[in-house]
Amino acid sequence: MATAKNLIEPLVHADRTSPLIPGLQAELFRNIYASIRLTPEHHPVVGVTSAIRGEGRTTIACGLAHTLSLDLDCPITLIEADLEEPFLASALGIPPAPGLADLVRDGRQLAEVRQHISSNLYVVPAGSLERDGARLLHQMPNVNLAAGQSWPSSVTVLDLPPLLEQSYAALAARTADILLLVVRTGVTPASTVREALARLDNQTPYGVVLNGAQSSLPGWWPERGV
Amino acid sequence: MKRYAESFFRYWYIVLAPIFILPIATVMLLSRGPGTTTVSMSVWASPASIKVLGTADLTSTPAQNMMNDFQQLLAIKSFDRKVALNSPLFSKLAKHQPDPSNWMQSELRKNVSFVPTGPNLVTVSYKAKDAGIGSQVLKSIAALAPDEVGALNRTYIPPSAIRLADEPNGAPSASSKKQLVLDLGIALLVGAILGIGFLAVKTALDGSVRYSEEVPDLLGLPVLGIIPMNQTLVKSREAR
Repeated sequence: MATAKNLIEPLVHADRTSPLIPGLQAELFRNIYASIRLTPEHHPVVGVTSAIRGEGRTTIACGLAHTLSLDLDCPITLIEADLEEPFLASALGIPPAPGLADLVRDGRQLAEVRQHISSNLYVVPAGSLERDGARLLHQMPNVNLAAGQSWPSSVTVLDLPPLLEQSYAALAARTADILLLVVRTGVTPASTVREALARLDNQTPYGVVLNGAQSSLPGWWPERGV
Repeated sequence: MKRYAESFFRYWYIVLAPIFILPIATVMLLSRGPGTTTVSMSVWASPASIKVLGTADLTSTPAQNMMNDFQQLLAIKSFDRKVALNSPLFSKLAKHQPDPSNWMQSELRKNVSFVPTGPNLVTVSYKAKDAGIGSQVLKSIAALAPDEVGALNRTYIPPSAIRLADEPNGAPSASSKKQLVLDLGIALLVGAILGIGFLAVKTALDGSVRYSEEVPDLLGLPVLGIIPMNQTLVKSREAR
């Protein structure tokens, strides 16, 4: 059975499992963290979304959350907000509830639904769903994720649903202070990404994380980089 | 440019496939089946010089008599051997046959045809794989027939009575090789155009985001990070 350790560890410590790119993966997640200039004292919520499913949104959210937990002393909470197709709980081997659904539906505090994974890493799974995922997403912007937090500083990473596949995904994305858009290179058409961006109305993503980058160019090619 | 270069290195096998397949298909098509070229010549018979002997049909035209005589000549194995000896390319082919003598006869009877195209004119055609072989065979027949036809003991056509009205129209063997090279060249060119055309269309239609440097222009957003394709991630995803 998959555990939190064997799901997340390979994302961050690729050097231990993949001799192909020693030490590269963790450093790349750190690059994202460095680019968004987080201030944990303000309890920022980092939302990770994408245009369509399968772009690596959850992978990036997991990798970012775990890297932050390694590099920062404050608690890091990874919240699964994809209420239509949740899988984090089963993948991590943790109970599926309580989770985000319970937090939004019942007005519970974040501290009540989060589950401890490692020293300062917490996960909030999707929770107990009663076919009311769309309604809960619609209510998400009204939820204050920082409410009831006793920590002086923290970072929340929100694994949001894909923008074009769930009607209220753009609405749920408003919960995030900083929005990251994951784009799978060579797969997602630019027009599809632009359509997703148009759904966000006035909210502009902080930037793009290109996922699954690979170059077929030979090593001697002058502009080989992705 | 970078997109096109990368497409080439990614799909090189699709680009190169028609470049290899088309020439091979061309060679296979060219070498398949007997008789792909028809070589012909006209033979003229002078009515004044034809000596009528025995049972010759006096009501027929000289051309018809000559045609009948030629057909009888081809049924004689010794005549076929002489034709072959006078046609080095035909002899070479015969040597590779299990029974050269029978092969020569059946090959000539099957592929040589006579059509009277006037009272004194017969068109002799040879359907051959190679125009050079056809040309040599026809010239041999025209050269040997006047002397050999006497053996039929029916009509006698002295050498002066038969002459080539024109040269065999088939190209010589050397030109045939040139034709093959030309065909191969065309196949290579068409293959290259198809392969490169496929690549160009595929790349032009690819509207996906590929490189970090094009993200600001395409989406108006900066790139915060690039996560490479990692087998570890793929395995982790498959495990789920």
